[in-house]
Amino acid sequence: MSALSAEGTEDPDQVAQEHPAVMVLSGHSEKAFSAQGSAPSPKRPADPNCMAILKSEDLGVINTKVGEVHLDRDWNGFFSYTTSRHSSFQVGVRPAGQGWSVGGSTSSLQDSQATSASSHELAPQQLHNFAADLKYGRYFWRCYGRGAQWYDAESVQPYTWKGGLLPSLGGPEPGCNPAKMSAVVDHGEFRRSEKQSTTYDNAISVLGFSGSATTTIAQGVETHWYNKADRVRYLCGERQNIASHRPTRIRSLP
Amino acid sequence: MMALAGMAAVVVAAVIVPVTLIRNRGTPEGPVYAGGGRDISAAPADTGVPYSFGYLLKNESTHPAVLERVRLVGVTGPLEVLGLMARPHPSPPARGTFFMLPGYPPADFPAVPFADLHVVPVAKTHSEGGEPNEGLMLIFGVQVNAPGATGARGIDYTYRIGKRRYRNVYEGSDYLCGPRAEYVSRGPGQCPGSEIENRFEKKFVEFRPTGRVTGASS
Repeated sequence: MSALSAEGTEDPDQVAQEHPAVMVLSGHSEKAFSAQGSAPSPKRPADPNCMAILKSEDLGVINTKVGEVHLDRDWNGFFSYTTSRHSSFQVGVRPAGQGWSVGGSTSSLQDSQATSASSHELAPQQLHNFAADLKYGRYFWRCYGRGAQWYDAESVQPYTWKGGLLPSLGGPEPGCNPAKMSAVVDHGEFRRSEKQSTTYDNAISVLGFSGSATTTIAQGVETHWYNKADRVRYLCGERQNIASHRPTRIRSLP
Repeated sequence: MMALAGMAAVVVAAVIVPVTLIRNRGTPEGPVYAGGGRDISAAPADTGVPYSFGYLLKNESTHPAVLERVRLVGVTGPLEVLGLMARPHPSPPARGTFFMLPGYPPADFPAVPFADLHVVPVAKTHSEGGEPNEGLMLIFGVQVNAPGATGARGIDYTYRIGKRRYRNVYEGSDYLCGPRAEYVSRGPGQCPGSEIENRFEKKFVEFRPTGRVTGASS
């Protein structure tokens, strides 16, 4: 977990160092929550000034986007996610009476060892999304600032993955930077394998906090695209080349 | 306490430094890279027809990097390596890059012999995420000479910036499977197939600005 940040963005390189191949997710709608007892304590506080947990609440399951495959016409694809160890989820933190900010990220979820994968031939002309059923906790902290003055703060973060992967369709499509296009030969395949990541903005939406999830493509996490057309076509990175170690979403072109 | 801390630092260094350097046998990776981590490209291919494997090298230093040696490693199956060419990136008529394409060099990616172009330039501009927009594209000519699945594990390259030498590797694996019609009819995901995927031979083909060498890694 990295240090408290006053801003809602992360340094992609810092995220990549935490998990060399990560996918960052965002864009989920807020859900209603009810306290369901206490949640396991995080290993580290979201705010380094916070020393003790006064109370914790289990917020239950929140489906959090951890992957996507954009498929234009005559593209097929595949996504598998067998461990959350290579995902990095932003932690929300707010001192009492103030707004939420990003308090670093966590990747130390309890893992279920589940094997979750999409169909091997996802349908074309769709944006396929995949959300992991993560359990979240809400934590109330006692923290100590300058001059030994104490203040209260709270944080929200996932603490375990139940092992499910929920598919959905649609949503904002990845953009394309024309300078980041890569040709895929006819009937060819491109597979993001290890240490390559995608960031999804606003993947986490809980109690008014909106954060991202970064999933590193690693052993157990893969994304495939198949060009089923009889001609060369392109995959396009939104921010980086599709083989970059820096996070990027990927768009398939017609 | 200070002495203990010093000893701890020595122990940590003694463990971490060799682990860090062992991958490249003591030579640091440096600021030139071809991608992040590992990716795979695969496609059905006509036998006896030239194809190209493309690798885009980028330089994050403030000085040009001179390539001294480039190896295509893990060359597996009936795959003949025809040669190595290079082209500045980006350069017309193609706008982007590629991992594999028919032709050597591919029609939209004109290139010159590696002996004539082997410097990874300093980036003039960077992407929104800080990645260099300019670089040097290496293009290996290859040809499937018999039916079956073939491939290469990636590249291993040595370069110099000023007086300092670096070595880096990139596991961007490419597979070609022939004959093309047979693998197309099998459908997506059948090339390379489990019998060859990630089971690379130790053969490599090495290129220097002065010539080429074929060998087997230890």
